[in-house]
Amino acid sequence: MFNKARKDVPNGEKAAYNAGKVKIIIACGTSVATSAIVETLLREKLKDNKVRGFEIYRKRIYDLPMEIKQINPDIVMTTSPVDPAIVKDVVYYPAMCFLTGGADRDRIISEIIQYIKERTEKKE
Amino acid sequence: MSAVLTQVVKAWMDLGVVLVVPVFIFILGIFFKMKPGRAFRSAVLFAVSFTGVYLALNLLLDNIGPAAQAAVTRFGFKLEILDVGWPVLASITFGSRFFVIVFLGGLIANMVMLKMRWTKTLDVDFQNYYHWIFGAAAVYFVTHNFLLAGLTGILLAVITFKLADWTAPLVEDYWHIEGISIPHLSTVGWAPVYYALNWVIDRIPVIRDIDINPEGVEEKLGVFGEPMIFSLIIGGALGIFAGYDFSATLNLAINTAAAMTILPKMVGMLMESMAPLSEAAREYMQDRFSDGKFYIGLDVAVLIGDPSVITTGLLLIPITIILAVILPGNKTLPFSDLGALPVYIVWALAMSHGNIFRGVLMGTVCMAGVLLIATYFAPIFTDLANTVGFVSPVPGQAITCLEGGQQIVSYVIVQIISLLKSIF
Repeated sequence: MFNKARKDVPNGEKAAYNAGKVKIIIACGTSVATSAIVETLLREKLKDNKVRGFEIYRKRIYDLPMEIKQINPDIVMTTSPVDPAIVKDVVYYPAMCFLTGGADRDRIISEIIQYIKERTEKKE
Repeated sequence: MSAVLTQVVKAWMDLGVVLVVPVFIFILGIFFKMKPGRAFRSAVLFAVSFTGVYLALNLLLDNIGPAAQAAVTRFGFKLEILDVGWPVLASITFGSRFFVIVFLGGLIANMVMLKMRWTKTLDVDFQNYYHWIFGAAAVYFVTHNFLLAGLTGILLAVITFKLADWTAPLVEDYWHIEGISIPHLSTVGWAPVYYALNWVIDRIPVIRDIDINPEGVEEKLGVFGEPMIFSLIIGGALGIFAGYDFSATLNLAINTAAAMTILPKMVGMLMESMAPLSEAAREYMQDRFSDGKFYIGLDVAVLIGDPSVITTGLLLIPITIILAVILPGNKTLPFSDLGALPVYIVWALAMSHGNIFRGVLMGTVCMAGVLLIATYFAPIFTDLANTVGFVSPVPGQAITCLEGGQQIVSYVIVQIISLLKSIF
């Protein structure tokens, strides 16, 4: 069951064994405003679903290539569309739907919950 | 009865920023049907992060202030006004007495205009209501008329929605994002200027044919644009200009880098405290305007990932520093907001279809304007900061920010009001 889900996770093998927690980068223009909204909502949903074992980093979109190298995240979310080449090695979600609301947001949240749960179960 | 009410309101306002705004956030949260516990947490987080902003800004001013002053006396250095950055502007406006009236006024203006079909923008970007609050505060500074200031705040909201409607097709054409507009006054306020500049460039032979693609430039500029490293360099340079010895220069560099790394994090917390309220207010408004076709109004940050925008913004950093030195009339030392320059030129790139040559050309002209307006707004900015408790350790130290210089619409309104005041 786990292996099946892992197939659509690029770079999942490497990330899964390198670190204990699922690392999520949320990036926006200044790492201050819109990424704060995304982080707050995501944290609340993860808490409501009793999900643990994740770390959230808020960064600037311009620094993404460098930050991805340094942090080695599993998931990257951006509030603005970015060059797909920058996020090709990670699980990427556009986060603008967190600002507008709607069905996409609920889908992304449940996918992230699923991803983190599978990772933590595997560890145990 | 009204006397009692006045007493209560006055007693509440006298409690100070760290208590007034959180109480308002709590009340507004309850109004938008947030759970009391959640609203209470938001209110406390606001107070806590505001205190954090205060600490970080003091660290910056304690270090940069005396050094800048030493450089001024040593070289007759004219850039005596410090750019403390937009996060400080946002904090002091949210902490100002115009917050309540302009926040509610802007919200109601948006709903009325939607109902009457005067705008298509459903503005859910509450964090950027601070632009209107700053305009209101600026008018108050000039006129000492609270009502006029409040009305200006609402007028700015109305102008913002109209400009957001006007620029919305560009969001779809250039970024391919549908159903979104950008009611972000400091950037859409410059959109008409960029429109005019682009029109002029279209009519200049040779220049109009130059088109430069951004690939590759952005990675090379990345490290220079990072606030921590950048402020380390600026802090060190300022120490040398101030005539500090080796150890004092290094300390200044590290303290500057520390302040500039901590400050955005504190303001990030301030934004987190407002996020649940934003979410609740967004749901409230979307429930009421779910029919019909609207643009959802978002922060300019949703446009910032474009490579042309990033590259142009980073190229404008050294250009702005040079401009600050050579531009007659400028007294602003650009610093904290330099990292946010890509935000300023989004419309220039949309109008020139991502041509960074035009982006830099138009951006340079506009940055000259931004520096001069930032200089003009310095006394107002400093006064507003003082009223919420941010006072520089160096007496008479004026502060401003480039984002303040971006407030061209407020600048024009203040100029018109000053003119009318001098006539009558």
